[in-house]
Amino acid sequence: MIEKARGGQCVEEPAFMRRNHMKLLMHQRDDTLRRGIRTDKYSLKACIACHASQTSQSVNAEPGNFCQSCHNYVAVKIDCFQCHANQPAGIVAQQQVKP
Amino acid sequence: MKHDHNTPQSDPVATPSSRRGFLGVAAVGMAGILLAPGVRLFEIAQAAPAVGGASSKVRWGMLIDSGKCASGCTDCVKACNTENGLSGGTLPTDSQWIRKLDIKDTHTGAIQSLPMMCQHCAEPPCVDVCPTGASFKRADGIVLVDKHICIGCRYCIMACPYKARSFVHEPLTHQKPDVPRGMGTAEACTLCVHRVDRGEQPACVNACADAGHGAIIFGNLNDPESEISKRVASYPSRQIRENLNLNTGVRYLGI
Repeated sequence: MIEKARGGQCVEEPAFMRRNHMKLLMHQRDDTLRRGIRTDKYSLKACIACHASQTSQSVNAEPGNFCQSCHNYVAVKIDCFQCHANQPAGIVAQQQVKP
Repeated sequence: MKHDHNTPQSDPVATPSSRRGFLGVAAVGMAGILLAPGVRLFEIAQAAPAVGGASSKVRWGMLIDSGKCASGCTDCVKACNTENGLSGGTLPTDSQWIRKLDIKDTHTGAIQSLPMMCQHCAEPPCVDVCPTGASFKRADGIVLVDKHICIGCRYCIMACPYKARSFVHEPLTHQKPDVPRGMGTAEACTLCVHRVDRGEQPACVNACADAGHGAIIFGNLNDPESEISKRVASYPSRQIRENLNLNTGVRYLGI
């Protein structure tokens, strides 16, 4: 069961996103990093801001979280979050203040 | 790099040779035409003006006045650590993007203080030696590591004459959303590229100004009207290791 997103409308149709989200992210990463083109549409940060779980505040911390639920099922390992934050910006800031 | 051509790209529209084709297609009806799955012409047209990106007309640089830099002050280092989510040296192997140096003239005993970080060379040795193309220079002169393709060989760390790069030895958690960092990759000062792209100044520049020193000026070296260009033109600034002809983006006054 995939967790519900926080926002209303995804940047593309769900059926399209299911098949092509990795292509959009791959394209966006080169645009952002190498050419300095930072747009909200297709940005990983925007994905996470909307899809982070209401309970764990993350997209992959628990098996049922948005990214993890499908990736577990198809046994495809995601390594995005070894480097990228898996939580929205506000949440990360709160956690860094605590300890 | 393998690109999937089904993904949205604005390039075909931008080239002059395809403008005729673009107009023809546009006349048929802008809104409904599907270029690639999910990408319509009007979306590209809307995206283009808002998207600036790094331009080679700009060369970002810094001018650091060592006369104003106070010995013992580490506000720039702290600001960098906070902005980029660095530990500040909890473990001996932790990354360091900027460090403070005190240099002493052994004849006179005069001590000068200055911050040292990636000098954002126009001819960066770290880019020359990178076997995968992960180490690269953006069009606006900022030298970065593409951690997606960095294999962690650390050639760049050895090649840098300024010892500016660090290697991430340990797994990291709670990275900043704007500053992805991960184990097994090289990293260094990014000139706070995420802030610069938003039109802000790097964190160290702000911190230095807030501390009342104002020793670091950030700006566009290619714009003759910018403050940094005027200062560089009117005062004799130096590059560290000038003899290497790297044409650094970071320059120093008073050393």
